[in-house]
Amino acid sequence: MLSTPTPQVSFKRRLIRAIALPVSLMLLLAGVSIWQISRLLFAMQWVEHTDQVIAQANRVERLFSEVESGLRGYLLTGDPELLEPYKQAQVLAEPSFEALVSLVSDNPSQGQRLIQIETQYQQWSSYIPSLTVGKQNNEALPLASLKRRNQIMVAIRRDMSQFIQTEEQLRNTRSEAVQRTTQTVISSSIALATILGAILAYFIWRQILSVSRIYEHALKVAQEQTQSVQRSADRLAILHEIDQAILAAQSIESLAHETLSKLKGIADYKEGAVILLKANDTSETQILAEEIDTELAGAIVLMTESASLNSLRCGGAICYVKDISTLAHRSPALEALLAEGYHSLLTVPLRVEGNSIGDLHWFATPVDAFNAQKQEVFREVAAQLAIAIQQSKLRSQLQKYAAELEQRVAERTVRLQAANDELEAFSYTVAHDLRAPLRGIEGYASALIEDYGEQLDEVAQDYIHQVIASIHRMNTLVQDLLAYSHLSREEIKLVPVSLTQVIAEAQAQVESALKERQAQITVAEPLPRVMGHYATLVQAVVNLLSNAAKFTVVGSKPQICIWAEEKTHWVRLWVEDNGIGIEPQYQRQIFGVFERLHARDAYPGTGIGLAIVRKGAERLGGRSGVKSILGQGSQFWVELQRVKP
Amino acid sequence: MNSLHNSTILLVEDNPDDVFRIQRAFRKADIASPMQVVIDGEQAIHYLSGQELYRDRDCYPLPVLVLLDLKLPRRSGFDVLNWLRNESDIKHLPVVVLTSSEQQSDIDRAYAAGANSYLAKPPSPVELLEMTRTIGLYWILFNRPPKARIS
Repeated sequence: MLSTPTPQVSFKRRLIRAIALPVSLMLLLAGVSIWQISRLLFAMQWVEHTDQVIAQANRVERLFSEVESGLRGYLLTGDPELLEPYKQAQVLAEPSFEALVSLVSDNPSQGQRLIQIETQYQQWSSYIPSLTVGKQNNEALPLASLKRRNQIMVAIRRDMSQFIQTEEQLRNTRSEAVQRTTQTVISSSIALATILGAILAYFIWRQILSVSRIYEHALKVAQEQTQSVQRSADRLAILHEIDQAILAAQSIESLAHETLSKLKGIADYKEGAVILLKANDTSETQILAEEIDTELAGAIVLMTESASLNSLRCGGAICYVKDISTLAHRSPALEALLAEGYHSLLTVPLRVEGNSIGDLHWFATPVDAFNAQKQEVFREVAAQLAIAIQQSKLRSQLQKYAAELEQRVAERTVRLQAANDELEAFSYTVAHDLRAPLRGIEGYASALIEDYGEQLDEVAQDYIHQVIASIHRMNTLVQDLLAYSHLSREEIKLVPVSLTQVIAEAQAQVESALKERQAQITVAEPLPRVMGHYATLVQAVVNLLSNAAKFTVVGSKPQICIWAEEKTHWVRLWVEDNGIGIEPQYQRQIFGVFERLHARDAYPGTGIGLAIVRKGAERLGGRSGVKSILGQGSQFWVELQRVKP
Repeated sequence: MNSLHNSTILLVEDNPDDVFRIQRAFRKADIASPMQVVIDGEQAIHYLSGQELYRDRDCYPLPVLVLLDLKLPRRSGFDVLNWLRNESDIKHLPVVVLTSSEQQSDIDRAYAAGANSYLAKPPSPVELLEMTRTIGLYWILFNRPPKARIS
């Protein structure tokens, strides 16, 4: 099975072909050209060779002539000097002739001719010694010899000129061959170049065409992909808008309305939609929204026959009817849709956590109006819508709870406010009206003692003093109670407070009592800053110091230690004394209002001091407590919030 | 020194016990200024404006000092103060609030309404006597009151 190469591989192959073919064609052209040129050069070499042969032949002929003429001059004159040119030429003639012979070694006919000439020359030369000797002896020259020698020389000259003639003919023939070869080379080169050019042009044209086809295809694919991406982007945008609408919508009704109106315009043809929701616990079905085309409103009413549409449900999956008219059994609702011109019907279930909460029905006029892509969109929308409906339900439930809670809080706040107001009024009454009679009683008691004291005996006077003392106690009680109640209601704003300053101020306030009892106070400086309220803190410390100085073992001087324990989130201020201590069972009780552990005679007081300490600590967002061993002293502590850096 | 007639003190106090205590304290402190007593805010306004029972300025002369309780029947001490400070003729009359409330809100409100001083009634007769002596010295002997214009 052949697999189509990937575009990259195909492109690479194409590229290699595009380079390889022109290169090989050019190499072919170069080879042919080189061959032709070498052929030409070969032909030209032969012409040159023939030229050389002719030149050599001429030289040989000339030498022969010189030998002849030199000898003749000697024979005529008998002068030995004239014999010199003959000797010189004769020496050169033989090698020149031999060179000529070697030059024509390739041509047997010419070689033959030269052998013949050589024989004649030797024949001719054989007469020379007898002639020269004869001359030296001044003998008469044999005429027959002279004639014979002359005949031979004529024959040699004739043969040489024939040889040269033959060579010249040969040269002409070869020059013509060179000319022809040159023409052939030129014309064949032109023809070959033209053919190769044509082949190359055709090939490149083919390549370009094919590449452009590939890229046209790629462009087309890219365009299609872009369009597809654009479509999904559009779809996403619609889904996003629906999401936005879902987030913004408050009620389920507006949710459904927003969803349908956003989906509107997804197609060109007439469409309708309806969302059927199951009510929570009943089989009753609720129509939520029914809009897209106002013309549809009348037809929608019929959809209230929910059972008819329910029959279309396909087990919780998407149900798609391409054409309603092809259905064998049509419910009245479907008939109504058909009558309105609708053919396609898409039903998408709305599911939350596996439970169906309703359906989204979508219908359109054309047959088979919903392709897979559209179905996918509706499926996604349905999923979103289901979640949103569920959220909306939960939200309204939550809102209901919140509203109920708010209502209850408001009611309680009103009741608390009323109680607080009453308490305020009560305190005011205590402060004014309850104390007024006390002032009266004391006033009259004092007046009685001052104005009529002389008339009363000691017992009577003592009674009156007791009355006045009781009044003072009552007054203190009322005042303490007021202070306590005031502490409960006062608006306290927590700010960083220096414990050093608080301790100093408290010490100053109880100075006289401390001095009176000769109390020794040790403060572990430095003390940190805490979140608190200056006056409240001072009041608490004053109460602790007063207690520490007050509840002492008879005969001992109070020793009071103050230090701070710092932890991550809080600071604990400790006030330790060496007093009488508190039994474990009473250590909780003493922080109550008006709680006393001792007779008034032994340790005077109203019993409000520690209650004020505890209330104050609570108001500052802290706590208070005590560690104590009876007879060994007590360690009271107040825990306060640290100052955050 | 002002003549006796000119140095009348008006005590506005509804509690007869307190009236007894204050009057007794004034007597013990030897303050000779005559003291007129009214027992509610409405009467105080009538007295100061010379209406109803108090038309006769010879019997009920304008006081040089008003000792004013705050918690009064009918109209409160605050009402009296507010009214007084809007009366063009007698708006500068010195008023010392003498009350049992020690609440800061009452103190602030009284000064805001134009009180010249704020005193809490001491429960003990000794302290009350001390306070009365001081009032007599400061407000009757040394203090120079503005001239009230009688229409």
